[in-house]
Amino acid sequence: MEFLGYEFPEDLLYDNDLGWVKEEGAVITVGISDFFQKTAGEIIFIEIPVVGRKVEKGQPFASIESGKWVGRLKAPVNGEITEVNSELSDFPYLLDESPYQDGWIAKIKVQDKGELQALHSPQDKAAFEQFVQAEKDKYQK
Amino acid sequence: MTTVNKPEEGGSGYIFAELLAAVPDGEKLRTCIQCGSCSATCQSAGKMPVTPRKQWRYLQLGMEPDILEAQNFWQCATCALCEKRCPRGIPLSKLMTKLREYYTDRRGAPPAMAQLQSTLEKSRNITGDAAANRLLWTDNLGLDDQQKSALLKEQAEVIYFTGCVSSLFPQVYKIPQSLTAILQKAGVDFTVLGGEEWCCGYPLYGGGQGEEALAEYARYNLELFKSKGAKTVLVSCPTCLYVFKKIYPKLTGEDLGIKVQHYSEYLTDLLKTGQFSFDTTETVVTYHDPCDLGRKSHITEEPREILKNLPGVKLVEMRFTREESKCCGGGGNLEMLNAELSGEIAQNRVAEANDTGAQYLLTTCQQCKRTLQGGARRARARLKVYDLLEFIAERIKPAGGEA
Repeated sequence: MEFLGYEFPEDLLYDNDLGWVKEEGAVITVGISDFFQKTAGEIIFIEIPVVGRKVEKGQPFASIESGKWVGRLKAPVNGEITEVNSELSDFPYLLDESPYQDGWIAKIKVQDKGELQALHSPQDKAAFEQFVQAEKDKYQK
Repeated sequence: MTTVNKPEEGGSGYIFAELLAAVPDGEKLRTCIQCGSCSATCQSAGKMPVTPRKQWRYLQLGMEPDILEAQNFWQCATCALCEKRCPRGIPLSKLMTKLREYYTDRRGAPPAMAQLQSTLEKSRNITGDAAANRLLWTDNLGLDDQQKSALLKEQAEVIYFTGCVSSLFPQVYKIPQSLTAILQKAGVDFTVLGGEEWCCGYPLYGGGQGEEALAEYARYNLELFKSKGAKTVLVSCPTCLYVFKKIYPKLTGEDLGIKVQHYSEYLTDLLKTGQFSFDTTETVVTYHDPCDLGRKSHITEEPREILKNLPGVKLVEMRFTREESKCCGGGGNLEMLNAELSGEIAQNRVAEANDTGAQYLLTTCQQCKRTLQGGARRARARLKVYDLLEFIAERIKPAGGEA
């Protein structure tokens, strides 16, 4: 589904920084959205978290570098990293070329699934568009 | 052509004669014979509105508006190779930086530099990150809380001043990760400063704010060093080294009795102590001397000495080395001022490295690593661009090996 020129698959949820979350039972897969990768520009490096690491909701768990810009990926929930996409260390361009498929970043075992309630869903079209617009305005300043 | 021999109004006051006086040996510019060595040397010259040679002539003639209009100085990587090659020994690079200051005084900072200044004022680092983020590089080492807190001590013999880029840019996290691993293995009593560390302040100086803009950074960082009771401050950033050794003493007039060293000086002997056992796989490397380490701090042999003592490693030199090394394109805030030019300069250096047939392009600076790695990526060069620290750490055999 497209919003303001960016692709947002509707079966995914999105956090406040426009990272995506896919729910699969007790585990979620996370990555960056089309909006995120377009705003960041050519991504040249991602620091992948280690498996087994505990992550804290709202705290950085990985960092991304593109040119002179550095971004922190914040965990959408409290939990533990169970799997990572180590391909990204050698091929960071997967984040730009395939943010929703080959560019997935990590899987996190969720402590409290209730935390997923706070995420944004494109299924609520009007609210989601407003959210994307606000983010877009922030970066175009 | 404007040839007004008068300073602009509204600045902080000095005219070009004073500008020459403000730089040690600046008066030597009066002896310039217009040989053009500076233009022939400068990798940015093709992107400057007037050649460096011509700019210096303008300066001799007092053609201030022409100089300020051309703004050559913002295309300078402050690599100082022109200064090295100048047959008259004129401090051209320092004069270029002084011109940035002069311009900023008169016409204000360019947007990228104004932004950088405001970021530094707010966060005391170059990205605007929260201070706590200076330790993000420790998060993925698999350390438990106790091991992590052992990196931060109240008192220690040695301080490892990590620097903004290595602390905050993930592409070079391996630099602090490798140095801490080596120091830990050697049993060195050291601490990092984490969120307490402030930028050394160089980006302000390079950004045309003058040396005085670093005064509060100098006072703060030096107080912090003193509070740890350290005898040695180690840096992995050659620019921090330059600032600590060449600029801070001028600002504080104080001798702290603390030795400041680049890691290549510190590790030369430490790695020979027999505590380490190394992988012996035959590997061919070439080495890029960072401008702030080689040309400006005269540290050229220590990294080579380390390489000579790593078994199986063969060093092949590039055409331009040591104090004659060419720039990576990452100095003088150039990456922020003109990313395209910075990238082109990096690619030139990568091409030179590629000609050696080496498998690794090594350097001893996080910024050189970033720009050269970008150059290698764009050129699709099959060269691994590593900081020397990463290279050493990778070749150290794990404990319980043959050591």
